[in-house]
Amino acid sequence: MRILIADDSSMMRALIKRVVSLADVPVEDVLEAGNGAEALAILESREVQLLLTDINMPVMTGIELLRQLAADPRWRGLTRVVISTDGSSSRRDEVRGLDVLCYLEKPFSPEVMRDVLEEVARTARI
Amino acid sequence: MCSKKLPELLGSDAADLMAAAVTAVAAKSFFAVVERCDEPRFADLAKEADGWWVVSVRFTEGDDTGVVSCSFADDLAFALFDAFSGRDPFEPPADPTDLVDLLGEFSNMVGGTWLTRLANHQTFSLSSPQVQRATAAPQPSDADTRVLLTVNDRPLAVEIRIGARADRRTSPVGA
Repeated sequence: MRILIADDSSMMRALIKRVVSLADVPVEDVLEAGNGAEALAILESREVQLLLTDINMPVMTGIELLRQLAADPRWRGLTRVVISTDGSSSRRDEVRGLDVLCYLEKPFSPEVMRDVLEEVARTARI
Repeated sequence: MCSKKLPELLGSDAADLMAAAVTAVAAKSFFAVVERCDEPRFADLAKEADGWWVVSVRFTEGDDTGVVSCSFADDLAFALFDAFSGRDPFEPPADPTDLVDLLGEFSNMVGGTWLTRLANHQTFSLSSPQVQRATAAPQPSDADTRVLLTVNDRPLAVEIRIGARADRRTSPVGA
């Protein structure tokens, strides 16, 4: 499985990467993007099975990224997980229609993140 | 759906919700213990600080705008970095760029968690954190809400400004 992490904080990307390495999921490669536009460029050029994306990012937000992905049938097989500080019910409702499998709220404990990754890998069969 | 505007929600429990937000962020991502503290104790602890990192995160929620500012004592900033990154004490100290990124993320999570708990029915957006250095400890100010805390016994001040007060916030207190 190839994973793409989109978050404007390099420290947060490093933490997520560390948790991914500790989770019981088959990982081939972990790619990183600092915003939605960078994530989209990577998705255009590399095959990715799981996207872990923040919402509040400069240049292109996670919501804009998810909208573009939802509108394009090429990304139908991409599993999407949101990891965001915005835990509001309105935001959760907003992403519900954007093919998002799971919404994880920051701050999260590494154990919760690991459990989510393992569940996502089982559910999405990736 | 609740139609209250943010200034109306900034009652006496705004400070409690902020303290709870910092506690959640510190415990879950930094394995740290948070306690409320009063001005005299904060001033005592602040005397020991070599310097301060002041991080401001602007937010927009509906028609309202505001700023959440977190002032970290130097040693607290480095301790949080070590806890988050798993840095070994024998490794080189935190790179300043990574430290700034980390303090921004801490403040971002604090602001986001607070807004989620204060007004769960509304989405919000957060700007990229602005990080500045200050030599003097944060003093009592015109903030709408000011919360003084210790994180693992080191001082942290969090201030919230809404509307016009947020717009006036152009430089850190004590800078």
